[in-house]
Amino acid sequence: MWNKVSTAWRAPFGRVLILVALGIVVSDVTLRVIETRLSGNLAHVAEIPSLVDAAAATRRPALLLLGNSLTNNGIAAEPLRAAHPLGPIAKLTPDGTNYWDWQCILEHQVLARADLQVDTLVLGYAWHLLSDQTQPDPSSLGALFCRATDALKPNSIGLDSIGDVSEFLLAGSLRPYALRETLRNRGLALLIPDYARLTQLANVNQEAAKQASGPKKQFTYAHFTALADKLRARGTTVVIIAMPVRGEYDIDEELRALDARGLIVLLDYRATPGIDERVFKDEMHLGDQGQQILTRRLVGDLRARSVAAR
Amino acid sequence: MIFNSFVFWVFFAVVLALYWRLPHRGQNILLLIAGYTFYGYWDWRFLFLLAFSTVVDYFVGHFLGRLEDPKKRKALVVLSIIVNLTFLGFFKYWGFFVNEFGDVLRVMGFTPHIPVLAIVLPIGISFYTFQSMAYTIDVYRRHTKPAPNLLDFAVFVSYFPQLVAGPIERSFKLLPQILSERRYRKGDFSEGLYHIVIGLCKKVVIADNLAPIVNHIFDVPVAQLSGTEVLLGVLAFAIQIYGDFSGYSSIAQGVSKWMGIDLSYNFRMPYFARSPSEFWQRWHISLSQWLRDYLYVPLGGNRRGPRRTYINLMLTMLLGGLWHGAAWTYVAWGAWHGALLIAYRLVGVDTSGKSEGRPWVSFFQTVLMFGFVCVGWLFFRAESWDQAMGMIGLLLTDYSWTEYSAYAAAMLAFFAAPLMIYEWFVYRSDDMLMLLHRPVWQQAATLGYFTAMLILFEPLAQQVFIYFQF
Repeated sequence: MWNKVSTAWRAPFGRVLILVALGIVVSDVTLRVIETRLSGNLAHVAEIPSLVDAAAATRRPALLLLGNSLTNNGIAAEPLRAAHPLGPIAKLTPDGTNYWDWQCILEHQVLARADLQVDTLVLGYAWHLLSDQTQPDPSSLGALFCRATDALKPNSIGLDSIGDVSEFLLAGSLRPYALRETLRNRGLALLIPDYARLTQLANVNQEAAKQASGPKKQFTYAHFTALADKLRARGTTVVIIAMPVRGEYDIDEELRALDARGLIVLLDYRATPGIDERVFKDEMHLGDQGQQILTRRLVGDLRARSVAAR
Repeated sequence: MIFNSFVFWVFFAVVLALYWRLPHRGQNILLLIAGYTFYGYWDWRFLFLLAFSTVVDYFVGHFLGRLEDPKKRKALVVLSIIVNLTFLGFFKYWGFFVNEFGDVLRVMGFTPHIPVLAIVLPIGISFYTFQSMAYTIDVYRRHTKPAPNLLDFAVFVSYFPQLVAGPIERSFKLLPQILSERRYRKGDFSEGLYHIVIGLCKKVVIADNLAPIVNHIFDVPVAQLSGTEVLLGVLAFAIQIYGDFSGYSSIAQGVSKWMGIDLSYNFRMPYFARSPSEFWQRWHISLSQWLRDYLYVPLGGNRRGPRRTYINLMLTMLLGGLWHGAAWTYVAWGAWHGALLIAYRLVGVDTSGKSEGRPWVSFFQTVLMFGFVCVGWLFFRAESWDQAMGMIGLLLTDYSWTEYSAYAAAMLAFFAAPLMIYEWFVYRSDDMLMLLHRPVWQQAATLGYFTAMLILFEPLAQQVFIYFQF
């Protein structure tokens, strides 16, 4: 190896390549060291194993609150103790995640652990984020939530092309690439006036145009059903919350059928009394007041269910 | 399968790994399979079109090489032109002319019921049709020898690096390279890598990150825009289309270089041109040369007096505009460039040499020409004639600075300015591979910058190459 490097160093372009490669390695190592300081979300992702460890250490059945920023902003963990007084509560809500990320979290952090018992999983979602058709983000899967060996069965984690698998593997091995969105957003927010707001607006418009022009999709839930089956076999009640958002979306029939079959408990919070335009803090997320209203409703529903179960 | 996708790079890695292990004939067979796989990845049905066009032009070329009778030779080349233009006309222009014909009938008071065919435009048809057609014309003119066999000719037509968006290679340049054994030369790797990294950066980092700004400004109704926003939208489009198309050409060159085959430069810093004729020697060079050799010169070029020269220029540019697509905005774009070429000839501006010692004159000429080019881009990008005229009206009357203007200007500066500064140095050095002749630290810093931008600033949504639609 060293001989090859020293031979390459003798050629001028070999030196160029070695210097560029060195720059990439240094930035990779640096990012691995400082990444939890880059954003609150990355710090949260890094603390997920320790949150799970803490829940397992109590040796009591835990309540796991899972989702993305909709759930993070929409539901507070502390008030849930009223509905789950005896066991620990772990809130795992990394930003920008969807079914495929949640599946990896559950597979590797919950189902793989014999020492952890989860009696209730509360999973917040919106639109069709639990469906098989949800677009995975191979980078976040590869770098943050899955393991490299998951790429051996790409379909099981939503990857359906060589391109997806390549991105998954590259993100898993190269930190600057995996964290590019965070780095980009931080950098451009400093340099570009109103970057976050105007980019978010452009994305919303682009997504709306795509939705309007594209054919209406059929949504299926085979992967989610299999996961819910596994969780139930472990004694976990799977509670799904259709979260309120600005605008409307439908709950797919297949998901309702899972509720009717008793595999999951579906709580439809899309139209919650007291939740209107005024309690949203931005285009998508609930503010403090909205969070209080929604959490109260969830606590009430969970308590009613546990009373009914007794 | 697009160059800015992982699928392409996996595909190319497999091709390259096999390529240098094969003898010459095996390499050509591999290139043919790769070309058809690459093209069929979009839609396998298009392969029949590619194959048919290849077979017709091969046999036309074959017989042209054997026949001496001028009439028969002419009949053969006309057959090739008719077949190629029929394909192009049907797939690209049928819908346009049928709609226009229907409109004319409606204006005349008729109620036409013209059947509408939902024709899918085969990707890159304009590129390979022109390349294949040029071959038969060149054989007819005895500028090139016929391909010795169908395999090699099929490789020439379907050579995947430049199949769907050029450069439109001429047979006398590409065919001999396909026919002869390739050797991996010292410097091929560095040159190829340089083209690939810069090309990807132009496409992925610059063009695709400016695309949302351009789309926003051209999607919003004109009444909701300010003149400054229009100006920035057009500037962003000028950079986007340059980054997109020259980026593709650059990647194609790099990929081809790694296979030991040289492709032509399709762009040479066009935005530093000081006149329309210089612009067309720097922008989409392979199409400009094609139009010059197979349209402008046969029409008489500048040999039949000034008036005929102007007519020839205008006709060439109108057809050049129409080559890009079946829409009146493309025709207007072509007419605008035709008018510019004529106007500069009338005024007698000569920018053929470097204006040593007159940097301010040169700077003024460059800025003026870039402004003219941007007006042309406005027609090119606009969805309709009304939108283009509305935007030009705003450009002349409204200079209000909005928060979106600030956002767009900052994005433009962040993504485009470093590239334009770099290109300025390349333009000044008159050496397209300038970077490879600089000290190691400068090469490392520049390549490091492009690599870092590629890793970090991949756009939020992947965009296809704009020129695929042409």
